[in-house]
Amino acid sequence: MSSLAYVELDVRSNFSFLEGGSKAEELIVQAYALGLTGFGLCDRNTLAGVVRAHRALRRLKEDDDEETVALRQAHGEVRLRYFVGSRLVFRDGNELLVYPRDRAAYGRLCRMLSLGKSRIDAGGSAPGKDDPDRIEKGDCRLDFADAATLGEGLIALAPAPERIDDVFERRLLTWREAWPDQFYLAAAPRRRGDDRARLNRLAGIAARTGAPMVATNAVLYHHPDRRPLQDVLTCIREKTTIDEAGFRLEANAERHLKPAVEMARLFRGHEAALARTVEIADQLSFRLTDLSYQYPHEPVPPGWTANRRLAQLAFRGARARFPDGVSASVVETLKKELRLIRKVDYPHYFLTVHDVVQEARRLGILCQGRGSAANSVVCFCLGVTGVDPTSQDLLFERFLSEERKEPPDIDVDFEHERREEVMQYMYTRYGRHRAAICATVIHYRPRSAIRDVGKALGLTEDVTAALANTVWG
Amino acid sequence: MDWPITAWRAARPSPPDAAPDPAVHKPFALVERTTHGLILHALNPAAHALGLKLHQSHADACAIVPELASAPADPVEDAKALRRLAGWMERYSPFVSLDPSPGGLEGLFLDLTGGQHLFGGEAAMARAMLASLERLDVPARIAVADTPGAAWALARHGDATLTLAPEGEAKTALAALPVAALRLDASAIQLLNRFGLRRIGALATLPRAALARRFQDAQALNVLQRLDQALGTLPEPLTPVTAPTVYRVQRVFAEPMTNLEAVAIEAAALTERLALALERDGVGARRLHLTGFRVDGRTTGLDVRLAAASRRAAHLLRLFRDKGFEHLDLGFGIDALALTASVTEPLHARQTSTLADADQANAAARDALVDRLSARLGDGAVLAAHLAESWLPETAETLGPYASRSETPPDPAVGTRPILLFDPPEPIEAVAELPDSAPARFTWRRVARRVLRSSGPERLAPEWWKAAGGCKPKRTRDYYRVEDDQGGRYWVFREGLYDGGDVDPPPSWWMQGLFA
Repeated sequence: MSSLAYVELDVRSNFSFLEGGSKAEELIVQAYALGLTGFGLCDRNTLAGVVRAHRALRRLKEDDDEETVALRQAHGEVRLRYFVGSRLVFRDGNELLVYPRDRAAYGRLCRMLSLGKSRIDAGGSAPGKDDPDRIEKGDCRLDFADAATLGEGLIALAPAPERIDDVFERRLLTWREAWPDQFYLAAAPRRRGDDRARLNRLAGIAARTGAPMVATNAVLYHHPDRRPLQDVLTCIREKTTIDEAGFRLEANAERHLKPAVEMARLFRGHEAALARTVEIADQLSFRLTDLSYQYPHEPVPPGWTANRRLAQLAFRGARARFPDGVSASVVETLKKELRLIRKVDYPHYFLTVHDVVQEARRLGILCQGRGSAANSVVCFCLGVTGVDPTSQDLLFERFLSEERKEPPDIDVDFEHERREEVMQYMYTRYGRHRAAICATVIHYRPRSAIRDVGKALGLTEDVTAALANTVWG
Repeated sequence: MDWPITAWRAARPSPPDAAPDPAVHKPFALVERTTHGLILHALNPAAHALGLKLHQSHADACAIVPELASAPADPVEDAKALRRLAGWMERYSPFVSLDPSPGGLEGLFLDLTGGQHLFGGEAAMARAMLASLERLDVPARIAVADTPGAAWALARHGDATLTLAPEGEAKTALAALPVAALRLDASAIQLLNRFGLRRIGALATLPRAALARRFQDAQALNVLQRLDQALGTLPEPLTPVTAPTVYRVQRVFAEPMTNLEAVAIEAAALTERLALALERDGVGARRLHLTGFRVDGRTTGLDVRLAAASRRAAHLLRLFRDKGFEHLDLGFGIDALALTASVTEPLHARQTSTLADADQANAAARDALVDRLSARLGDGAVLAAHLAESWLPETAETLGPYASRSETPPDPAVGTRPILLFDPPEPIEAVAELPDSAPARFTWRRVARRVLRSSGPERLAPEWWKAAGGCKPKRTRDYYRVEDDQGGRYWVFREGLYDGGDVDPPPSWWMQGLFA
């Protein structure tokens, strides 16, 4: 492998719907096979693809199935680094690539995207089909100003547009001045005969605006063979057919992942732009593994740890459950269970359930825990379940075990007519700020994919319908 | 009246004088085959007189009138014949619209506004129409009134074959007519009759609110709407058979004209008149129709299209001449000739400058030539190059009709293109650095050239969706602009990529074009 280092920072996967022609997994494998130093995925106004890419990389590193073993044999140790990013497409159509430096910046990026997507209601009540305020699925209403206010800790790269002019230069300068973190200009060769002039011009703009030039290849697919697919996607996006699409299609198949040597050749004379990709990558410490479940802290009194609180409540409950004195075996089981809970780190969960049950009791709402939670003495002592598991000789491991590596499942039934009150309590106690959008990603089902591709290729409705009927799903 | 029967008779040779026409003197019906068997589609007066009704089954009718003669109906052909008659009636007014009321109530609406004086007033005009229709053996009833609704009612339910309702007196003229004259459907008529409302006069005097309340369904709306339309309180838009044309000149002849040369002379006179009208309004014609009105109720015509708007009488006439007056089928002669400019465009008089706008003059002369060539050779024979959205030079232009060419410049997204393209490209031998540098030396037409300056590559991939074959490229090309030591500038390309695995056959070099 070459000693040249290059990190591709402008990559779209198929999570940029109808733009990217490859899956995140394919991109990761290709980036690794080409020996890239790093790879940053940034899809249009979303982070939806990041998990796929992360998982694909982990699979490359850790899994030992035939395919990954063969890959590792062919290309050596997996040194590829993966960076989480997103492509912000603002309302005015301008774009900005952003990469969070750390966990906090990632949080701000998420908030930024949530802001853009939750503006759906801004237009007023029930927008109609012709309403300009109507938001399509996947729409994001974001402006540069919004991004700049939440941009702390986000390294930004502004991709150079098709036409480079004074307007772009002025915008770049304004943006660079307003951006709270480092700001770069991302340049990609287009192979349209004017690359040398174009890169020189961009380098000039970079020097004047103070936004250093960074080399990218504005990747749309992992391999040049994907060009036909990408062309078809363009047709579907533009609602046209392949024969009518004309200049909306790319002139060549160059927007694929390229190895460092090739990028160095294309950026000859602009070596610094190449080096900057690594410079940026080195500042990005955020990894997806930094994210973990964050439990509400409400039920824990200030100054206490969750484990200590849980132990206190459990023993206090035990004394109430066994008014004649807590037997040694019960104490033993309690201690054993609490140890395990501490070990798998779920004390918060028990406290939350306890808190809800407590409130229900206070309101006089009937409730009863059931299912495997009945195997736990802790649950019994917390008043969540009603049967003493020690008297029934029930097996705690059925409820919670180290091997299972998943949160325990405590089912609690509430009086159905008053369940709403319990829910309202949950809302007021834990608050709106904890609500999050679960990613809803639009994707194709085989039949509609065939139908749209057929349309783009200019086949008649009858033919595509017949083709679509040959697949299931 | 009874249009299907008239049309049926018109479509057949009239019987010798001696033999009585069965469709006139004896009960006769046209029958239509439906899911309920044969039913009567149209009846002649004799059959009406014997009490036969429309839509009666043919079997029932034969039981009542055993001697009933019949023939199959052809509604499609009837509609066509009505349209033909409408075309012929355009001699009286450019605005003729079809009224396909079913059940033998077919008719035509003519808007006479502004044209009566040409025929000596409304009454004289109507009489002339009646007479000419009679000559065509079309039994007609004519009414002239303020509204289409009133005219319809008076023509079909009035006492005379010719009714003239004085202006503004539709209400009095209609009062005595049955409610059926309001173009209502059978159930509405039945309902009104049940209420004792048999005359339009009775209906019109009722308070509208009460009427609307009484008929609180779609029929009521229809009743009120039709009444208002007949009385002119509600407008009734009509669709003319031929879109209204502003530029139209016409000539009526005392004797039917059968001589093509005479027609050509008349056409020349009409062209002069049309050109004057066009000039007055500062427009030019893009499309012309010459229509001859034949004595047998048909029309014959010539169409010409122009590549650019024009109003020069000599040019327009020459187009018709090139098209050939001999294509006019005069039949037994035409008694009127009209020239219409159906598509016009603003065309302003231009100041001729001493420095002679050679380009403009050339363009005008070229357009005139194209018009003449198209008129003689057919519309598809004269083509112009059109820009097509394609990255590849071979497919970046296509041939299309001259008239629809656009003058827009090429998209700037496409790189620089030379002024001369070789199609097909010529092979050259070149020496270039791998994988994708411009050639350092190349040999074209047996002359070796040394490259001083170059730019590129512009990489163009083949259009995979087009069928391979012909001269379409199948491999990706890298185009370079190069300048040799003689100052010649060339557009060369390499087909195939060294770094793309194109080894068999190896990439080859070609000369695609020359820059100025």
